Order: sequence, then C-alpha cells, then structure tokens
Amino acid sequence: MAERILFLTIGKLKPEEKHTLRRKLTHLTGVLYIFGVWFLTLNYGFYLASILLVSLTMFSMSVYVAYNLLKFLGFKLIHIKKLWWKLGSPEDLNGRKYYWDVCWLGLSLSTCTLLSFLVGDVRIAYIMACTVILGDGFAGIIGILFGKHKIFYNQRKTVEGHLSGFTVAFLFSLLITKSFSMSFVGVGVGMLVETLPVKVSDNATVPLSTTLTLIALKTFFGV
Amino acid sequence: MLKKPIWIIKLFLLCLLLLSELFCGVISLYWFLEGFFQVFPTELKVLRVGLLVAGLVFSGFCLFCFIWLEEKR
Repeated sequence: MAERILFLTIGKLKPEEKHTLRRKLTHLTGVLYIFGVWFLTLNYGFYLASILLVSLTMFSMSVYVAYNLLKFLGFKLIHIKKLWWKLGSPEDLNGRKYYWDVCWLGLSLSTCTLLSFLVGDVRIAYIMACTVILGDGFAGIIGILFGKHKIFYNQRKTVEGHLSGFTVAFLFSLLITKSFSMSFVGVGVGMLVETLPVKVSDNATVPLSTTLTLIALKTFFGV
Repeated sequence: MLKKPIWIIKLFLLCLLLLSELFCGVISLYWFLEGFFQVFPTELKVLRVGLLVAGLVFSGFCLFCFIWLEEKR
C-alpha cells in the first residue's frame, strides 16, 4: 500500500521535480562520508581520517572540475553529461542551471572536517555531515513527495520537508555524538540556514554555518 | 570586445581550481601515508591541517570568482 502511494506520488511529479528528487537521492549517498569519518577515526584517529577524506574528496572533485573545464573549452561530452543528468546534476536554481553544487559540497565538507580537527572535536564533523547530507537530502525528498505548506519567506521550500530533514539529521547526530545540545543547535542552525533564500549554494552555507556555530558554542560555552 | 579577456580569466580560474584541488589531494594523501608509519607532534599536525584549510579556501575563492563571472555574462 505504502509503495503504491509512493509510486502514484512520484508519477504525478513534474519533470523538474523528478530531477530534483534524483539529485536529493544522490545526495543521500553522502552517508558514506559519515560512515568514513566514523570508521577511519575509530581505526586511525581523527587526524589521519580527516586528511584521507580530504584527499579522496579532492580527487573526486578534480574529476568533476576537469569535466567542466573540458566542457568550457568546447568539448562535447554527451555520455558524461547524460550520466550527470541521471545523478541529478545540474541543479535548477530559479530557472537557471547550476553546475557547481557538487564542488561546493566537496569543498565545504572537507574544510569543515579539517576545522573540526583544529578545535579537536570529531562531534562537530559528524553533526555537520549529518545536517548537510541527511537533513538537506530528506528535506528535499519529503518536501517534493509530501510537502504542502510553503515556508512564508521561501516559496521553494516546504515546512514538512524541513521538519522531517531536521528530525532525521538530529536523531542521527544524537545517536552518533550522544550530545543533545550540540546536535540540536548544530542541526537547527544548519536547517534554518537551508531555508533562507540566498543566491549561494546551500551545500556551502549549511556546513559552514553549522561548523562555525558549533565551534563558537564549544569555545564560549565549553559544551 | 571584453569577451575574450573574460574568457581567459575564467579559463585561468578553472585551471587554478583544478590545480589547487589536485594539489590538496596529492599533499593530503602524502601526509596520510607519512602519518600512517610514524607519529608526528600535534603542532606539526595542526600546521599541516591549517595549510590544507588554506588550500581549500583558495579553491573556494577560485570557484566563487568563476561563478561570479559566469553570472555576469
């Protein structure tokens, strides 16, 4: 029954909504990053874990930038373009195509993980990754499938989507870090920034706002 | 008339972005392998991580400038 409702809901979606849904599902594969932070930190410590993840992320990003560089030079890379389309890229941002979402995500995830190492708290990296990967991902998916009420200051986002995104990211953060206050504040700030109608990619603003807030919280309140 | 210089700046920014990302990837992999076999003092780890953050911020700056120029088109 649930499958049938889901099938019917997806069937009614507009093509651009289906494309966004694909992008959000691809977004959720970022769970591997959270798993990577956890597994590598457990085995090699946070320093080695963070620099290995930066290395892997940067090599992946380089492939994407090289593809865009070739496209910029006028090469027609039809097959790769089709592959990116299937994975949900480019993002449709107010009617124009936005190709750099993937790059912002990689850069901000890496920078924020390293900043977490500099303040010596792996929990910040977990909460930041949960917010941008699970929070943003679920907010998009639930918003497209079941969202009815638009947020009054941003007509592209829904209340249902954001509440579910916040809940999923908060619960996962709490489960991993065991810190209620940090998870609540970090995910809360991240999801609030996500709703703002800014021109910059949310994949850059959400991790940075979450990380900087948690660093401030740790520095000034010693949480 | 201004089209060509802007195209060259954008190409330069894309190349800088690609090179800085590759540099960060290679150097962090090297430091990972080095750190895997020997223990380093915390000061050195912090210095290295600080350098990596600077490299990533530089990449972000190149990307930001490129997108800004794209949108000015």
